[in-house]
Amino acid sequence: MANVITNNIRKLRFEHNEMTQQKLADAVSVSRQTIVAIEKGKYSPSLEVAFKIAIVFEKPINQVFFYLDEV
Amino acid sequence: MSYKETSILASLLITLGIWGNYAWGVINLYQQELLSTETMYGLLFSAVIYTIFLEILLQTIVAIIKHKEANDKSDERDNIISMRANSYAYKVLIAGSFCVTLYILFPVIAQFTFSMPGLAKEYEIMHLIIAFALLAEIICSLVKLISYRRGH
Repeated sequence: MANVITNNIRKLRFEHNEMTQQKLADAVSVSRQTIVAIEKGKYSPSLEVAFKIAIVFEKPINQVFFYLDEV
Repeated sequence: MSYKETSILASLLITLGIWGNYAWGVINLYQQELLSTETMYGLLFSAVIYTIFLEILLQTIVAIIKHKEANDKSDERDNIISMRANSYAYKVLIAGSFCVTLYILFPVIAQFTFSMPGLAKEYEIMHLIIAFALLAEIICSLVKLISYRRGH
């Protein structure tokens, strides 16, 4: 069984006036490459960065990140 | 390719190129029976100076080309990748220390493994240490590059 953390950051960026990856990266103090990796699901951020991203989009963290159990 | 990846790749290529050339030079001198402390020092100093010169040159060029990212601070992902790469390099260095210690304690090993006729024993040990340090550096760079490519 594999555990997967996914997110809908790309959709939320689009809904927030098509916010760029760079703007989001600046807002949460990480590099644009880190945002790219998070969006693609290749990197799971720390709780701190996850909360910061949720705050930027004014959403609860569980509406930004999702934890899935895959068989 | 991001600034960090390009910078790591540049360093890796410099390390492989210059120190590969150094190893090739030492092997050639050995085959021609010209290997001595003086010729070895000549190769070693030129390798060190070329490394410094090319690192400054290439890192400056990379910073100019990728100027938007060049001043970015390291974030948590960079730190995780760096820690992972350093842990692999550390294991190689530990294995290297163990091998060098065995080499010093049991000189008979030199007959079957690593021997540089024409040079004093101290220089053989120095070359072993340099070889393991370079191997650790290469593995560190490779792990970083793979991690950045994979995303984490």
